[in-house]
Amino acid sequence: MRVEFLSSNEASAEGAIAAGLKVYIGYPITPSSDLFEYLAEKLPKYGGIVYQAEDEIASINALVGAALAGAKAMTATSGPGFSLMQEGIGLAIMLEAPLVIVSDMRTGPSTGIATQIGQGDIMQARWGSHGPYNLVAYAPASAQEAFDYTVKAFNTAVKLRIPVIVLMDAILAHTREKVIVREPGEIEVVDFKKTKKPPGEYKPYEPDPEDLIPPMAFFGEGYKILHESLAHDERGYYKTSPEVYRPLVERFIEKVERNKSYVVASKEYYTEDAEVLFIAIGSVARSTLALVRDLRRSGIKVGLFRPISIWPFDEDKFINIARRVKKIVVAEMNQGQLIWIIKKILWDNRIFNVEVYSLPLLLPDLPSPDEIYDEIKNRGWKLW
Amino acid sequence: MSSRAKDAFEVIILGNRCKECGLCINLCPMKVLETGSKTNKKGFYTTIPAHPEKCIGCSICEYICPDYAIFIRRLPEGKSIGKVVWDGGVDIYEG
Amino acid sequence: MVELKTKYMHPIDDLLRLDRVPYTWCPGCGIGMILHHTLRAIKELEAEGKIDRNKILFVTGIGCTGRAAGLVNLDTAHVLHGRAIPFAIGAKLANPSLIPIVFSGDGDIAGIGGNHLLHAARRNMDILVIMVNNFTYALTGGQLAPTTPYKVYSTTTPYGNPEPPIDTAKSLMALDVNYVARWSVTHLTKIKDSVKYALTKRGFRFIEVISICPEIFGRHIGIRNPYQLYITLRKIAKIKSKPSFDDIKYDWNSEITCGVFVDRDNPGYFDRLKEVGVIKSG
Repeated sequence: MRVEFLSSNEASAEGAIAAGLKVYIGYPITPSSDLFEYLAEKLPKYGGIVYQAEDEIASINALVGAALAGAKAMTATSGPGFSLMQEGIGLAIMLEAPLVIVSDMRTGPSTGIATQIGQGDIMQARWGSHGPYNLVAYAPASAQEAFDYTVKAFNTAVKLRIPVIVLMDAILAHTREKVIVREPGEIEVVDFKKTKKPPGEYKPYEPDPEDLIPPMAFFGEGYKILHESLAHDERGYYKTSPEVYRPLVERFIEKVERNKSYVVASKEYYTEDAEVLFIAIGSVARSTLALVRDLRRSGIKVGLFRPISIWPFDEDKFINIARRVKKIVVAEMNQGQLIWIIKKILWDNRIFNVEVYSLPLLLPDLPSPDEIYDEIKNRGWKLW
Repeated sequence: MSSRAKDAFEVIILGNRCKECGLCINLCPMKVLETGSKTNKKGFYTTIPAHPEKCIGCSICEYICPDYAIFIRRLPEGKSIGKVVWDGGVDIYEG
Repeated sequence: MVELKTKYMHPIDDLLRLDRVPYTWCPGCGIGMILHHTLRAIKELEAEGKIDRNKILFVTGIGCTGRAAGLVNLDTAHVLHGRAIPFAIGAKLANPSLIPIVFSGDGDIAGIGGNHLLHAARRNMDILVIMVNNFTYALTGGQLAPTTPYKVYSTTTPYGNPEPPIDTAKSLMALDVNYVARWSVTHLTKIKDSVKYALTKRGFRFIEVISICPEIFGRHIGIRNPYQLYITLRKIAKIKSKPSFDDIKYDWNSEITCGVFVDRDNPGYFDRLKEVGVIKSG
């Protein structure tokens, strides 16, 4: 274990190394390029390989190939590149390839503002690809969390055989903070679950009933594996019948649902007696937390709930707090994405006696605590 | 000039694989093959080795078949023979 | 009866998933022929002790040719449209002992996958790409392909194709590649010899094979019978020995030049990684 002074990009790279990263395949895009560059320098020293693909589409497809050949694999990108990767994420889902994809969110839409923060990838992280599926997305809010949750992302990806998204932002990416960098012996590092069956008996998509995850066999081990992007049965043979299709996609959804307690994470601040609850992630959560502290000093009973896992959301923790508060304000730098998740959870749990406010901070740069306060005031809301 | 025993070949057709494309029939230089009168599982009229005695073992049929339905084996001795192999048995053609 | 199945096995049956034979391709389709001779090449190399079939990774994209992954009894992957090449490269980066063979169609490799083809060739990446060219997007019903001849009907150019097609093999001659060849289904043994030779080389190897598609392309040009289409192609596909760049033609109405266009032994991608010191030798 060592103490370093790192940006979230660098901390995430260190987390990946600690988790056993072997193959990094990337494409430059602001503000994630320096994560790529950091690993281009460092990873070969750990026996890994770093490759610059010709575009993000090549990048994500190559990562799926690398994962199925037995390597812990990762890339880092931002909004526009993340959009390009969506079809490849669907491939990772269908082929059950463990992957980690970091997206340093930036101002959108389209090319937007490359060097400034946005939070517009939240929905895309979960729903960007087509068809029924499930995956996990984490939103660290500090360099330490960037390290910790990149390790967690690898473990989750390998355990559940899914792509895991790590959503950071343009400010976190380049803000240096103290990070306790742990070594592999000090942290949990999950390894690929390999099959115990011999070739001939092994079926690439036959799940273990306990966890719904098929054990892996890699390319080159003599298993004659068929990896198939068409809807398939346990052998990988293309099948179109409901008896085969439905269990397949239900398993894709269920394998994350069933492992929720392993996956979910969140943090709460000043929530014991809060009457107004802010919800925010990433750098916006840090600015909001400062506002919450200011308001507390004036005697106003506000608190902050900060999801760290966005998909799936830490519902149990959240609804305990939601039942106690009177008002919820969801502050995010987009037109309203987290708000949909919040409203759904409240509705599903029949929590109707709370007023919910969506605060879309359509700004090109992070608002200060005072600026968030002004945004609320200018809308004429009577929150306290 | 010494005489040489003529080489003998087995012309083997896997009946259920044939798709009646006609390439082997038309490309065989010796006209060994013909369209049969029995349909296979998929409904195609499987090619038959009607004249195996004419086979010279060039294997063009084996190379051209897109469905791996026909192949030639050299026999160590004896007469050439044609076979259409089905799940339940083999039809023999002696030409 | 099981005994009949083992007594009468086609020479390449051990490389096929037999429970999927006969496969989905149309009667007379050239893909089965090209696959046959690719697999023959592997068998011959194996008999000579020059290849380990367990290290082969057979990657296909989307299209009629792409369906080959479901039939071949090796490590195979049927991936996204146009993305077989990057997938194969990623797998090789993770495990350099793998032997990737990308086997896909003209639309998949030269159309949507064009950028990946260009860069794999530029890098002299250590993979073999076999591109089956049937001049159309057959699986989806016969739309225009980058390789469709000028003025020919396609379902998306019903008045006739207004675009010049690409001569894919010829285009790659400009890049630092180790092997480029073109054959047709009218030279089946050449395909086998070419694949066999290519598999012993390093760097980027590309083999374009002109195929016959009686049901779609054949029907579009008025030749739906497989044998008739075959003999039409036989007149067009002409082998030239060591052709120069200008000798190579790609014209359905006169000649599609076949042969070996490039045969070099430049260092491949993994050799160059060692040269710059990113990976240690051995």
